[in-house]
Amino acid sequence: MTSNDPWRLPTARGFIAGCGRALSALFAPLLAACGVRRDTLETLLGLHYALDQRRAGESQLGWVQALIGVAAFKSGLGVFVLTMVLRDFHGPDLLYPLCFAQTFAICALVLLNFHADALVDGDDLRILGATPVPARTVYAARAIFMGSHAALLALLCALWPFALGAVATGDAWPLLLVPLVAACGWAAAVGGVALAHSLLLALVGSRRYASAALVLRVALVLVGLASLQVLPRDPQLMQELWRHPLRPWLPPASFEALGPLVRGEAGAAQLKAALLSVAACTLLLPLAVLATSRRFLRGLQDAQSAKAAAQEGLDERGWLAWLGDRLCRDSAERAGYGYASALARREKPFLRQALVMAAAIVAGTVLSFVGLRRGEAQALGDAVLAGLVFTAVIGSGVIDVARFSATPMARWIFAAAPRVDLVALHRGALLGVLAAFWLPLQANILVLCCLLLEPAQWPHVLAALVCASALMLAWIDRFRFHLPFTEPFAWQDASLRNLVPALSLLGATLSGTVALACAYWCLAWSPWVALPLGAAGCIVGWRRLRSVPGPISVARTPAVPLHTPAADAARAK
Amino acid sequence: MSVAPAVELRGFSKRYGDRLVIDRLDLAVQPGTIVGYLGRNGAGKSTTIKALLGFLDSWEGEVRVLGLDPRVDAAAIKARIGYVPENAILYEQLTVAEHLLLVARLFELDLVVARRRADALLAGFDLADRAGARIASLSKGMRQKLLLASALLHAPSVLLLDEPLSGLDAHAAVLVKKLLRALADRGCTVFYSSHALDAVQQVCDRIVILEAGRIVAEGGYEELARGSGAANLEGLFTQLTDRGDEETRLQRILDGLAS
Repeated sequence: MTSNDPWRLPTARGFIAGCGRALSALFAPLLAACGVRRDTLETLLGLHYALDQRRAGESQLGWVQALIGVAAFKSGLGVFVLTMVLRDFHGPDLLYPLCFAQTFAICALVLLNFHADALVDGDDLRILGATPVPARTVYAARAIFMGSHAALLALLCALWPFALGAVATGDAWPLLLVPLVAACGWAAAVGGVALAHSLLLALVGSRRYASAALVLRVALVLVGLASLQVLPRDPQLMQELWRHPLRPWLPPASFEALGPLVRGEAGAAQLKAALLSVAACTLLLPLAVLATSRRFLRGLQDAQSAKAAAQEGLDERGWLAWLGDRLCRDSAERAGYGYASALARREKPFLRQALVMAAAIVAGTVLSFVGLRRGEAQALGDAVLAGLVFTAVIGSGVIDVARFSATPMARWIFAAAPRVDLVALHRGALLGVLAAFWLPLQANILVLCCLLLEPAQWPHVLAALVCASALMLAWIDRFRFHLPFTEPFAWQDASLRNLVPALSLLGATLSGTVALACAYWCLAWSPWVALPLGAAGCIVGWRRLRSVPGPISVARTPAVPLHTPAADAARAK
Repeated sequence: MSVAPAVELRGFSKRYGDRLVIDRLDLAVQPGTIVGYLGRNGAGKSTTIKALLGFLDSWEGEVRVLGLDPRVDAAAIKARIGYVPENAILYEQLTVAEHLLLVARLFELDLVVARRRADALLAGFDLADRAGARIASLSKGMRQKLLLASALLHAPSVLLLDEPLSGLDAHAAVLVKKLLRALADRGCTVFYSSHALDAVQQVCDRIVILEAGRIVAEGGYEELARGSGAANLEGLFTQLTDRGDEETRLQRILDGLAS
């Protein structure tokens, strides 16, 4: 068999694929006990990695993962610093619970937000569904695939504590224990997310699974981040939790016992707690596979068939159509708007992600105000401005995802249409993106803030949202939107091109935030200053977007030379 | 001695929410038969095929494929079924050869045998020179040929075909029709769902026509045509499934275009 022989199954190389192979070997006995076929599992893993590498190569995705990796790496340094700061109060063994909590939190958040859908990939349902592969094997392959991506994050989380742990603890044990603890955090996150999906399908059934999974993801992100915001504000509750008899038995606190254990100072209870925690984390993934019944794939396929049977038409209805009729000035704009809004309603993965991100914003920023008194409005103002930064981050994400990358077929629709005013077409599409993605996101945040905060704090929130909208309007035309319309065969380049405007939007937001923070610092009624400023920015941005010919540049499709023998001969002459 | 049916449905009903898609369907298909399964869009053809494949979670009545219940023995049934779906969904980033090897592995075939069969199938379907090509680069007809090759690779006892000739050129369509006949003569049962009525008329031993989830006609083409007086299957089909509103709908389209 030569290297050019096409009759070979795809093989994947690299760290992540290596992790996947190691994991399948490590868990092989446990997975086999759950009914997973080893050979088929390896075939599926090879397939997933090969497809992943080829797809990544085509779409040039990856910078979001790179940013998350950098965040994980930096947070590892935070764990080390916190251990050093608290060393005199709690002892150096605090490194291990902190390392576990950090690895678990980052891996779980990323899995919930970016990889949860990977467990129930639609292609698997359609293509593998007709083969005699047991549901548990399909699920195990997906879970390991997902887990191997998270393993890279866990490695980045553990690097600083691993390298500097000896400094914090005064002995060499972190070289052994930090990888163990990080592996436990990773296993708990991967197994926990996978188990939650398996149990959810078993509990709510296939019909309600997708909605229930979304609610659960949002709730988990909300509760997880909110507890970090709210709990430290209640010292009494924190002390009660600290003194709770179950605390030493539960992760992450139970990992504190690892230090005394390796030094030979641990009691029987500490030994049991540490061993139980490690065993529980390791067993979560096999448990998730075991909880996946034979009905798992069938249930999802049934739900998919039901969805197809009840497929809605493409007709625009409701407020989106009403808004489109009023915002668009001509038929070309209206066509672009209708196209963008129709796609928006079908970008289900994006909508799910946006909701989880919105929950993260609310939990990470807005809920930090809960418990604040009116007298602390100064702190509130600063915190609301932090929300503005998050909103801008979401904004760049909105634009990046909503650039129709998933629908290259669209080019044929527009290629077949008569050449209308392309600038108007794009302007309409931008309006559609704003109406379908940006407005609902802002409205959701506003409603949640109004529900959770006191009326006196509402102007702050409103000011932040209006300022964020002004920035969005000023930046939206900098992104490359004209891909499916006029550059049919170069749409893969968009992600990298949009990185520059996304980063510049982030930079502008940060500068704006600093400026507004200064205004909050100097002026007593700062929301009443920020609000008109933001409104003025919105008006300027809106007028700029609507101006003719306007700031939107539309690249014309390069003329494709006609390849016929006669044409080629003429060109040769 | 009577032979057990390869496919059997008794009182089979399926609902999606409040909508009844299949209503108490009774059908038995003997081994080595080619059954044409016809109906208007939404009549319940694909739903029946999904139930036979074990893709559906719940239904009323009894479904048996090769004597097995798809709800209980889905894996055992799938190992003996070849399925060509209506929409050619494939892993676009794989090559033709990789896809066939993947199917062979998932069906746990001996790789030497699988390679031999794959070579024969690709040569037969005129795809031999495309073995190393990415699926994304294939035309619709080529993808359809690949789906047919994948469905035949493990020498199934039952073939479930949903529009198998979709996108095929005339030569390939003739080849597939002859192939189906030959496979049926060797004992393979073919469940052939299609809107291409002339192909169904040519190739099928029995024809089943569904309307709103119920069987409205069943039998050999000659038998059905004799009873109805229709000149061909298209005439028979429109006669049996006519709702009497074609003229109104045609007029509505023409009026709409004229406005």
